[in-house]
Amino acid sequence: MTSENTIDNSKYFIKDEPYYLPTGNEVEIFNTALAENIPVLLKGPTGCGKTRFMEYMSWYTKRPLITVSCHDDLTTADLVGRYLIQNDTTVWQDGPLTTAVRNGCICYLDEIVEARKDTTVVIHPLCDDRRILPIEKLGQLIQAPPDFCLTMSYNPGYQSAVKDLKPSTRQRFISIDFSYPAADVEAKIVNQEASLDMAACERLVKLAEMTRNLVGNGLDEGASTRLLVHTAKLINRGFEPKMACRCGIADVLTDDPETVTLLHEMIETLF
Amino acid sequence: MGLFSGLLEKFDQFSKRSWSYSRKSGSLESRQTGSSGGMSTNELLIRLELIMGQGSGLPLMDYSNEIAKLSHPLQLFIFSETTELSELSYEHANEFLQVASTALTEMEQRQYERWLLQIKQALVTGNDADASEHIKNHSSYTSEGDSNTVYLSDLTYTLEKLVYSIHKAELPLAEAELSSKSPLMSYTNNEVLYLPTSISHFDNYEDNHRLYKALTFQLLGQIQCESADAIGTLNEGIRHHGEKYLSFFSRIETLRIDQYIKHSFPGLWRDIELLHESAKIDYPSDFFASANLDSVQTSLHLTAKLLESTVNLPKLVYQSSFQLDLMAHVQKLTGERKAPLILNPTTDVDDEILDTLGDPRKADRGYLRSLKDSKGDSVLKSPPPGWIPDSSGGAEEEQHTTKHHEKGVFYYREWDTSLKKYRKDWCRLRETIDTDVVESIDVENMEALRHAEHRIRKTFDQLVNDQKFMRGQSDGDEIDIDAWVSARSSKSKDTDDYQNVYIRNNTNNRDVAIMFAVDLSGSTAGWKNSMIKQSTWLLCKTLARMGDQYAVYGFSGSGRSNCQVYPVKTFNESYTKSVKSRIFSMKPHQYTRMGVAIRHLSMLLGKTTAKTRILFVLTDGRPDDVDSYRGQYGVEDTRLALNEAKALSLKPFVLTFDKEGMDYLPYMLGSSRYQLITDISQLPIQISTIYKQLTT
Repeated sequence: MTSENTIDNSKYFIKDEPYYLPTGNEVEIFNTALAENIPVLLKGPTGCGKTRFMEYMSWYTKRPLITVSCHDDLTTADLVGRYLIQNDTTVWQDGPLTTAVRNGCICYLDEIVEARKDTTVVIHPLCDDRRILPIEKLGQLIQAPPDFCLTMSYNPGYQSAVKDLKPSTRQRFISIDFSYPAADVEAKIVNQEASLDMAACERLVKLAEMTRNLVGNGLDEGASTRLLVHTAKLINRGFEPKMACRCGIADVLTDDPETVTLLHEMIETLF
Repeated sequence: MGLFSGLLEKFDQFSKRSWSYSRKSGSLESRQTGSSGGMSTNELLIRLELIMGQGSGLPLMDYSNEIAKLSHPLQLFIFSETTELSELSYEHANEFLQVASTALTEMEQRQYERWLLQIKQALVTGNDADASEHIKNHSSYTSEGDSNTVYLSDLTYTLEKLVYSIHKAELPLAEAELSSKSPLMSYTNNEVLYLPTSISHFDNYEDNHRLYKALTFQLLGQIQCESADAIGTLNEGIRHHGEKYLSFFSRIETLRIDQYIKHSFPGLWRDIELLHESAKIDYPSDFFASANLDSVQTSLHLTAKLLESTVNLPKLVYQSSFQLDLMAHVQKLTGERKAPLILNPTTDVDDEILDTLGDPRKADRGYLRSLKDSKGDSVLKSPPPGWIPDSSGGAEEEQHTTKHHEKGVFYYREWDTSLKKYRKDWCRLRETIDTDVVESIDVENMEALRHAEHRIRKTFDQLVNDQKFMRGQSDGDEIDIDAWVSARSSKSKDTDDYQNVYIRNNTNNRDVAIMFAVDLSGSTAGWKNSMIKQSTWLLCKTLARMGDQYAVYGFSGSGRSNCQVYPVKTFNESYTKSVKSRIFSMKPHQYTRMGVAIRHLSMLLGKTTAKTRILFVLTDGRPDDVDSYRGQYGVEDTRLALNEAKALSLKPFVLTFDKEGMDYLPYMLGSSRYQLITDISQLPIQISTIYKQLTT
């Protein structure tokens, strides 16, 4: 069965260019993957720009983007679709994955390892050369159009081994690694996002680097670029930098009193 | 809780308030008379015998007579410290007792705490002779410090982590050699930062604290700005111009590192400027105005110029020293470390290493150990002048490498809150299967238990049912035809009926592993033990229905080298008769060294692959062991062990019978991770209720 448009694609287009500063050749790799119909896996810590990259690529390639935030209770039916009752009859409702396949969208499954294990299996036939989506309840096999692209993201840092992706899933993708950007690039991003002066942005990035060095030494994860942007916005709104860093970074990262004291000491050293 | 701790606590309770007051006031013992409610000589003797052993041949009666002259709080302090010291070294505990009463009456609280910290640090690092020296020289501590004094030990944790966050490698902080000429002497060998033991340079605490931080960052600056690259030129310069050359270089290099601090750490630089004000220093701000600060060559170049000029640079209060011998030696070792591991027998150092029994393999070990010691966190004491790596103690190293091969024996670290460091491989834990076979267990027919079992089953059945197809849901995978037909045929035509016409499949949603850690200390003897056994049995019996992975381990022990866990049911076993037999053979043992047990059981639980992993600790009191593992020490170590469990993505939960548990559990675990059980007869039902809450 071939695909057919079921939605107004324009609703899913990103109209304004999202701010994204490439840190490597990720844009080229993604474009190649699109051209070659290879699904893409984005790996990286929280708040490093994976979702923003997807928005940017959707805008860049002029393809509609459908994002699914995965969670513990996400089932196959939530992705593929289900029958609903309307008045005296049942009607089929496509799930976001089916919608994306039918309409040639980019489907972005955010934090895929959070979803139930059986859910990931449904994407297997979509991710190899078959590029089909079987819908058991309809008895249909939908062939994905060339424009369709499946992208998933996950954070290997804080996921436990049990939440890791199965090799059979992994090996269907090409992977783009999103570690935190280089200090100067990250400072530019914070500067652009929060309109804070460059010197203060550089100090924020320095603080973030110091917290990242403490991962496994009191912190589970260091400060993300997203946290820096939040903090920079606080400073930009007139908050004293030390106070902004405490609220925006130190107290967010941990509840352990000793580590909080240490983070406060870092802030005192830098600001 | 341990067997003896009850007795000891009775002795202690009365004095808690006065002790606390005394600590706050920091008053001298001589101001409190010997008749301030202290223990009698007989009581003291009994306590000393408990610690040092009966018939030890020591003049315990003499010690008791001396200690009897002290106030109750100080008497308690002596016992607590003697216990801790005896764990480290029995002989030193005896030496301490010989001088304790005299020393404590001479010193203020801060001073004797400092004194004991020095002794313990020396013992932990194996410097027994130094420890004896510290004990003998107690009078030298009487002139030390006041409320403005800042001690390195109080800042070590924060400063080390702060340095780590910048340097990305461990740079342990250690005490510098005492120097009467320069009490603020600080230096580094590029692997350890040596700082003064205490600082009381300024007449306020804040400035002294700032000074510590400035000194630390100066040393870090030496490493980051690669000051050691100048060693060759410096030696040459000293040969031609004498020590004046090094002195000039030190001042200039300090200014160069200041520029690095000013640029990279503006907050700290502000603090340093405050130090300039407090020390009334006319800081030469423009000294580097036109110089390129990229490398240490700039400093060397300026040093040469300065020697020919009349410019006089001030000596800054936070100026660190350059120990050229030390730096050169470590540089050499670092170079060798980077090179293939081939020993060069032609050098002095390697000669010494090779001198360890003439066995090349042992020489390798000596070499490796010296590298480890020069970097590892076990280094607490500064090296003497002309330091070379210690190659002695081969036997100890041998023991260290072989002790880990004992079957069923595990070594775990322990957090020493006074040292603010982990004691590596401090606790020796053995898994022991209780072989006592319980012949007949007549619990099946007990009426009360049948009732409890019924209640637990009911609770767990709800859980099991929750996992199946849930009909009549507002959202789900399938249409619930029955619900729809019912809605259609309902006379009420309630629109809500049409909302809930789906079936939700929750199968496989439940993925739980739980580790029950049961406190089997002596204080659980009697009916508490019976209730624990019955609860565990009921739980195991009913949990088998749930399909959840679960394990049960008891824990107890006596002292750090005799920590025990008793496997009752492992994760790989199913509930069988032998498990039941092991449950009913659980009996009270000795003490509650909780940290090591939590670390071991966390490790086992961490190996499971469940989505939800719960470490469920059932205890009747606070952490307590025969040695100094009690009070703040035990609570802090247990807190760290529980934090380590959280870092492994485990969910710790403590159920306690201890009515005083609210004093320390919120601190140890944070909110909603503990519960107090007041009626122990309700234990089985309580556990099942909590289990339901934790796993859904």
